Amino acid sequence: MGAFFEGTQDLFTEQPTGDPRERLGRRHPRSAEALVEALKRDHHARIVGEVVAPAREARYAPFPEALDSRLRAALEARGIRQLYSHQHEAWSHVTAGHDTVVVTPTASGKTLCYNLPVIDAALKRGAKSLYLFPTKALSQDQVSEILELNAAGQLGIRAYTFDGDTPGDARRAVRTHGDIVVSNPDMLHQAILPHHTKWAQFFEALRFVVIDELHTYRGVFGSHVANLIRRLRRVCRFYGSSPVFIACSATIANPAELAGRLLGGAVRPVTESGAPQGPRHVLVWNPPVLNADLGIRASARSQSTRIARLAVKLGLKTIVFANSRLEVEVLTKYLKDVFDRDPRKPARVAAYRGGYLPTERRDQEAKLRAGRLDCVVSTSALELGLDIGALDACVLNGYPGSVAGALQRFGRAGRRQRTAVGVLVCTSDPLDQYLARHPEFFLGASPEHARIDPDQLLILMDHVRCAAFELPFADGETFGGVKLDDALRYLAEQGVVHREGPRWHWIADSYPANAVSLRSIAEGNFTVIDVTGGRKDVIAEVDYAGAATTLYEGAIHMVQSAPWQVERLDWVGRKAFVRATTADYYTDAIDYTKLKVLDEFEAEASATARAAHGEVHVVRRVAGYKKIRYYTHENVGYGRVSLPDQEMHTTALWWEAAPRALEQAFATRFEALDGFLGAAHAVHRIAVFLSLAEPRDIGRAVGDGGPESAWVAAAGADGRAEPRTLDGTAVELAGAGRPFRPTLYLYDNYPGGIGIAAPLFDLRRQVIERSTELVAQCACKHGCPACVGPVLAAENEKRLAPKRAALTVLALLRGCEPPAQPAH
Amino acid sequence: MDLQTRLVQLRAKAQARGLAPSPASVPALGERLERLRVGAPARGVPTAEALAASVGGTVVAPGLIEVGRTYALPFEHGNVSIASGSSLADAAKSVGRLSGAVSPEQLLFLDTETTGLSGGTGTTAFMVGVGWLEGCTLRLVQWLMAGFAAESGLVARAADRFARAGVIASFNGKSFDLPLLKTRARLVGQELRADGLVHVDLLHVTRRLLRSAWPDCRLRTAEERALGLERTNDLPGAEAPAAWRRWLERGDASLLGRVLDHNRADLLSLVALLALLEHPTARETPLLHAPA
Repeated sequence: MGAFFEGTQDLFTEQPTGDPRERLGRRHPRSAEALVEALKRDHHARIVGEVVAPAREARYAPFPEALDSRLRAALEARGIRQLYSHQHEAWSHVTAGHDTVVVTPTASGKTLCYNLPVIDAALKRGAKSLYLFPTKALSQDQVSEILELNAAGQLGIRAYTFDGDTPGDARRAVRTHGDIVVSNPDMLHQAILPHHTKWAQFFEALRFVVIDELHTYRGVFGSHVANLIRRLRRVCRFYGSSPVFIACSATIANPAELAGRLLGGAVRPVTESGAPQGPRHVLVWNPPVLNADLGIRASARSQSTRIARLAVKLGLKTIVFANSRLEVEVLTKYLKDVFDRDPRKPARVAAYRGGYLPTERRDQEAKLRAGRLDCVVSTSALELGLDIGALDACVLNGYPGSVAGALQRFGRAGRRQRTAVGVLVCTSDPLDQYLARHPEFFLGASPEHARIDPDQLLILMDHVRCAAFELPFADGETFGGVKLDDALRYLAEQGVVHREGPRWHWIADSYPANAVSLRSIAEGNFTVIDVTGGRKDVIAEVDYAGAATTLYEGAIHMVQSAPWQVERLDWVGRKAFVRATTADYYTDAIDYTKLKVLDEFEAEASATARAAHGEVHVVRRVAGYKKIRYYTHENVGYGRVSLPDQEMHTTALWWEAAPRALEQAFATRFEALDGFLGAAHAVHRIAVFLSLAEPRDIGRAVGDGGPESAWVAAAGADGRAEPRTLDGTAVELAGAGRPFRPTLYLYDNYPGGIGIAAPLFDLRRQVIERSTELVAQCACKHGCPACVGPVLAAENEKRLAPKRAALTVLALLRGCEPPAQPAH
Repeated sequence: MDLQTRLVQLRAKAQARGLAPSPASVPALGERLERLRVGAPARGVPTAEALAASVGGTVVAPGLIEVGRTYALPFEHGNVSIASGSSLADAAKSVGRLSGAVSPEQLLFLDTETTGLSGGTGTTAFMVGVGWLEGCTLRLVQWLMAGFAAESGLVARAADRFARAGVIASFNGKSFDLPLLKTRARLVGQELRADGLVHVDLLHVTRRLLRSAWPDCRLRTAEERALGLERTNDLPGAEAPAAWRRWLERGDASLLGRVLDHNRADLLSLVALLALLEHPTARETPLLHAPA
């Protein structure tokens, strides 16, 4: 096997420990096999699926003929004597002037796919390039790599990062002398484009734009970035340049399509990796059932903890991915309880997530690279190609919502000659349980399509404003193919642009880029400030969407699994003041959502139901919170919350049952509501699944479909449906005169919509059918978190079981006869 | 009722019932935008000539109005006497701590009025005021854009003055006015050469000398305390952007005259401040340290 340059050193630190089994486990070349054997031996019944991917040999290609000799010498000095096949393929496309996207796994040498043509052109023609990374850490990694190559061959290439940390006087040097400027979308948006004349020399000589981690530019963020690229292309045209775009993406189903929509043109894909890879075991793990009647299983957390413990004891570097920051904190706590009991010894387990301050994260990354941490627990923040050294085992605590996401996370584990192990631990989430019953779906599935909606109205308008600030628009000019006459007229009416002859000039005294966040269709981030002992330290950041449900007064907010309690929340000022606490519980918010239909675009009615989609007004209120004790998960109390409502207009689809059919199918209205709530639970998961979206992209609600939207339904403490007004007061449902129109809503969880509801409406039949399947095939008797939501045992004998109620509602929505009812 | 009336009624009913919304139709962009937010209107288009007449200037290029003034030296501004061209040149040299010799013809005073303070490519300098010395006179020239079409002419004339200058004196011009003019030049495809120029920014000087004595280092504060001048009926600089927008959008030039006055007053105070700061004793004058 030819020598190949590794981006990282393979470091195992020798850490003396008392446990002989541990010392034995370390440096054992077959540790990963040992883990799989141990898991199979001890917990055979929990492994519901397994797949083994064999090792892959490398495929090489020679250096391109045209490659600058100085660059060739630099590569050889670093031990690289040939390329992988995909690196050569990328070179061919890029040098022929085609926008290109490279889709190969982590650690396959993607960076050389762009560094090679970029540095070659810089050496030969003084060409300049712009690199865009989603985070600062990745940017800094990249510059280090270029500098190393520089040093190896004395190339004299000037590569600089340009981000919020770049001091004022350094910025001038970057603008005028940088051959390669490494930055991020936010900087491009707020600092570079609106001051593009200062970058005139750079734009005139710009030949390449490199966009790494392309798959992260999806959903709302992706829609913003697509518009940012439109602005960039517009500015380049002004300076007479037309750069080639080189993108790198993780494995998604449609990389060329995503790249095309993001970059605004045809893109050549490079998908066959020539890099070698060790064998990989992937297991699908379902926690054991603890209560068969209720279908309650052991928590995924307990299983992930157990697997991670064993992996670490066997000497495997392990990463555990959790789907929420709360889960990260709880898992870290459990693992630290095992491995980091002695505070005098350096920590072996660490948590990593967005919201930690950048310095802390750099610190964790460095420790990981140096091999000083044995186990890291993370959210998707570590999904990206950040260089954190090599890992052996990857545990997913819960399905991350997409096969692509799962593959990307599994991809963090694996070295060239060593086996890697990935374990997907299923939670009680209905989708996870669906996968546990059909593991072949996950193991054999191809990753999903990534979606963006660059012409989403609010997002588009934000960027048209920014673009108008950058350069005046001309009559008839298009922006990414969209005609702008209406939009410009609208801006003129707002006094933001002024039309003179055929041109529209910016005349407002504002700086539009400051008001536009690329990650949301709204407001700013909250800072979390520690005020313990009279201090005022900023310890974390939370985005607007997460603030209402995690920073209310009384909330326990965790940072590195140390709990802080929120003492005061300054909503308008975007600040939360917290104090360290020793509480033994964590908090979980209770929120109500009310919808009102503004406009119906399309509808379909049958004898027993009606489905429609259109525009809605959504109001979300956090009414209170539950206090939940660690380990036992008991509910130990409640608290009230008073925060402003979150309101927005968006698109949605909804279902109603015909009143007469509803009356015949259910003895009481409460039972019907139980059914709707249960059905909503299943329908939401299936909808997320079918739309290939993230769970937080689609909101769900059950409420009164009548003109006043008088009530919303939420699950009470006993798991049963309770109709309430938005502020939590109970509503009377009974009474023959009162109309009863329970409605199940699914809505795009972003103001203005993001293109989910309409295509989902087209799939409405499938949604209801698969939801019926999900509930009917569930192994529980009366209902459980995997199908209709949590249910208390005691209630089952008295009322119609939630599972049955949900199936009845689903049958009505399908337009069929509901299943036969037992007498009650 | 007769057939005619019935037909009319039927047509009216049909119109009232309206067309059922077709699933394929998407409401027009303007309508959708209105649903999401609100908007407002109005406008008019008088000529550059009319504007020139109302502010006492002349049209020197398409859409570009020039207003000129001359001041014979010596003259008083506030309690400062501006003696001569050479005294100003000496002042520039000592206040700016310049090494080479400075001759009066090299001096260029600069102040702009803009549509905003951000300094990015969306900020326009709709008014540029410059001053220079010709023998025993101080010449002030102000250019005002009647519209964006005038910008090219404005930039060319400003660039011409810059080309003849050696030392620029301004108040915060180093970080704001000059970079802004360079940006505007680039956007209209011209270049504003300022590399060989030395910049004496009186904001920096004022800060250096008087930071501890005064509450802030704004030109108005310096004017009141050091020059002993109180402006009457001055249009604050912050209102200049709105004044110009009013002209652009409604053809209402009523405030532009006052913007010119304000800009001119700023320029004169700039000149006087330079003269004042030169005399070492002036820096110790009780005036400079007197409370407001």
